[in-house]
Amino acid sequence: MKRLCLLAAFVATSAAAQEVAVIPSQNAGAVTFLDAGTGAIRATVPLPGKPAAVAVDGPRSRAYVVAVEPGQLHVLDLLTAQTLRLLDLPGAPFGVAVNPASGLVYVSDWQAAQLLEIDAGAGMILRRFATGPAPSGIAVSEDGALLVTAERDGDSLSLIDTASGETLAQVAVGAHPFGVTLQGGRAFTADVMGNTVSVVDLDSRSLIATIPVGERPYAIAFAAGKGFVTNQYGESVSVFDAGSLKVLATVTVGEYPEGIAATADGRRILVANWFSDTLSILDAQSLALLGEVALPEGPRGFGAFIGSSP
Amino acid sequence: MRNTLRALVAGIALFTGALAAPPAEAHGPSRQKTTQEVTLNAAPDEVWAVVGDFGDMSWHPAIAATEAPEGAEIGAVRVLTLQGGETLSEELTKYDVAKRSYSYRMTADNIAALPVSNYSSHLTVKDAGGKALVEWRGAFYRGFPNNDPPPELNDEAAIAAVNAVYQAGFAALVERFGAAE
Repeated sequence: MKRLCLLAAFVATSAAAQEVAVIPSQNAGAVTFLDAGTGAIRATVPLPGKPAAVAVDGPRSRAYVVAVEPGQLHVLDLLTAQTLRLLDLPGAPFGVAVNPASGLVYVSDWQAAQLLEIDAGAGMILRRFATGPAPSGIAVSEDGALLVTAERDGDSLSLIDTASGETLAQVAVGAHPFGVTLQGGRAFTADVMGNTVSVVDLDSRSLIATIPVGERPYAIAFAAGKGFVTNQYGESVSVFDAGSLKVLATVTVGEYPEGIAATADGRRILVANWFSDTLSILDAQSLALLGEVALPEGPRGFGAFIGSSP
Repeated sequence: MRNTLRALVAGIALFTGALAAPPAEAHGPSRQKTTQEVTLNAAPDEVWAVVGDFGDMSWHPAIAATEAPEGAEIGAVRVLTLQGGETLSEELTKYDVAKRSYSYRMTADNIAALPVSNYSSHLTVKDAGGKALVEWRGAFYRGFPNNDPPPELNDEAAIAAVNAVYQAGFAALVERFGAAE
């Protein structure tokens, strides 16, 4: 079965640009590769060690998945779903993000309160950036110059200059920020214990707004001028206007929704439902549920899990 | 049957000694989940009338007393006193009579009573061809928050303890209503 899936994925590589969603299932110890537009499963591969976080680098055709228990970074080929490299990491690695400009990978280390900067091609840790306690989600600006991380146990967001490695600012946000996403010159954190999204202006490096969302917000994605926030306990996605920051709607999804990402065309929002073992596909414009896909047990998909390979 | 029940209840109290879980090499806990179900020889509404009252857990043999002064309003907290004297506080987060389902979560961990943390749960009575299918689901972390948990506080111990609670409840319901054919 797996062999067939891999073959199908391989054959498909000859086609034009492909947008792929990569979702780790933590309880099953597996990663699912899907066609982000249709939700069709391209491949499911075993990935033991309780994987939760993922980052997709479309232009370089890579997916990065952190296996929490052994503390390893899996470097996978986005189109063939094959593991290209396995890196042992120090501490308690959790979140992961890719620098779009350089292709370097950042992994958060809960234990030592730091971010690791990794050259995945060379298999080397290049630098370590000190952070506040329990750095979780990570995001990098489009130009690759700014790195941010949500510090869960510090109730803060650190802004780091990727060139110098200096911390530019540490901004107080809501209680237990977990996911963080950059959009329009702002950083948005999902404050798990605050039931809020904190909005940080990246120029003034200050908290400019707090958006009330559902219970236990986890992660945030943007599409069609709107922000979408998964609410773990709410079994819902809160939708807010990306400009006015006003809450527009609350959409019911599966149980314990966690990872969330948008397709590049801004038409679809994909949500991994940890308890339901499903992926919900929402229309970003109408907010209608377009479909649901069954996934291996415990899908989390924490990170920017969609990317387009050229 | 009574003896079986007693054994199950005792099993919950003595969960730490009963388990022979292998040593885990965990580095940072991950959230665990479990779903248990039983189909009873009774109508769904009949069973819901027994298990659907958030303020009365007396149907469960591990529970010595339920204190729920706020009743079954969303946000209400019930304090369960277990047979061994430990207490658990749980807050009602959803209540849906039409779906015969309620959701709750522990407001504070009590590792001595149940070796889990951040516990939340749903109890639902579904209609399975006219018979009551009771589904009990839990999401939680293990009792030990750091790396290298002792065996009685690892992931396996957490799942086993929660399953034992659910199964003890099911055993009491089977005794009361009978199991579906």
